[in-house]
Amino acid sequence: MRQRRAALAYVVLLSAVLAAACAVSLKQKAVLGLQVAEQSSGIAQDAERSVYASGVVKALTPAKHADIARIFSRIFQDERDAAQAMRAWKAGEPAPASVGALLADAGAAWAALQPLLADIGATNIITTIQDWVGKVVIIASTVNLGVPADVKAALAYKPVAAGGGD
Amino acid sequence: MDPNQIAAYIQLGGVLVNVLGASIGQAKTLVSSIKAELHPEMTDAQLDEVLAGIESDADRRKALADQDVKDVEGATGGDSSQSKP
Repeated sequence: MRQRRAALAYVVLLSAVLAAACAVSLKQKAVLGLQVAEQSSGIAQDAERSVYASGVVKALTPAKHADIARIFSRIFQDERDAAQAMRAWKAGEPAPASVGALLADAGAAWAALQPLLADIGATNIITTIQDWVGKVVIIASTVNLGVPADVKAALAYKPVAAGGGD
Repeated sequence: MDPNQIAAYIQLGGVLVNVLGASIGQAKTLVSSIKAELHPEMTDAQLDEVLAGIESDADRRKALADQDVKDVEGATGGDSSQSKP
């Protein structure tokens, strides 16, 4: 009798706790993850703009700066789209497609930014971009999206300090 | 929520019922109260507020990036792109 009561208690508590914990928390985790990712991309943008404005890194030419700015423009558009989609996201629905698009573009952004930044020896900026990719992966993992190989490679990348960098 | 935390809440419920003799209803209420205190859920309005902040900042930063491109293009008098895909 006592064992049956205990088992019933576990079942009732399990369903109550799981119901409360899963549905809403998933969206909350994803939203807060996106907030951190957007702040992280902002830090990377500030770092690059600051280096460019200082003129210290001669290799960061106006053309390269513009190339990098184009990529940042795309990143912020993706993050905005993801935020907009999350606003309409209801518990129990599949994750918004724009989260997958953000993850895919994170891989593309890395592939474009890493050689540009490595070329000018901007190791610290590479690290901030890598940090941002990591934040995007956390959002994707929260909503059970698989991480593409190029994004995994980005996370595994170890920057090599170069002379005359940031 | 972390699966370990969920497991801990369930164990706590078990202790309340089996050791302290609480009813299932009492245990549910207590566990819910503790969970709300330790892991507060944000309301939809609060999440919308966070999302609005993200959209606003992303808009501002995108505009900044677009302006940087325009500034360079204005200075160089045309397409500044070096790293074509």
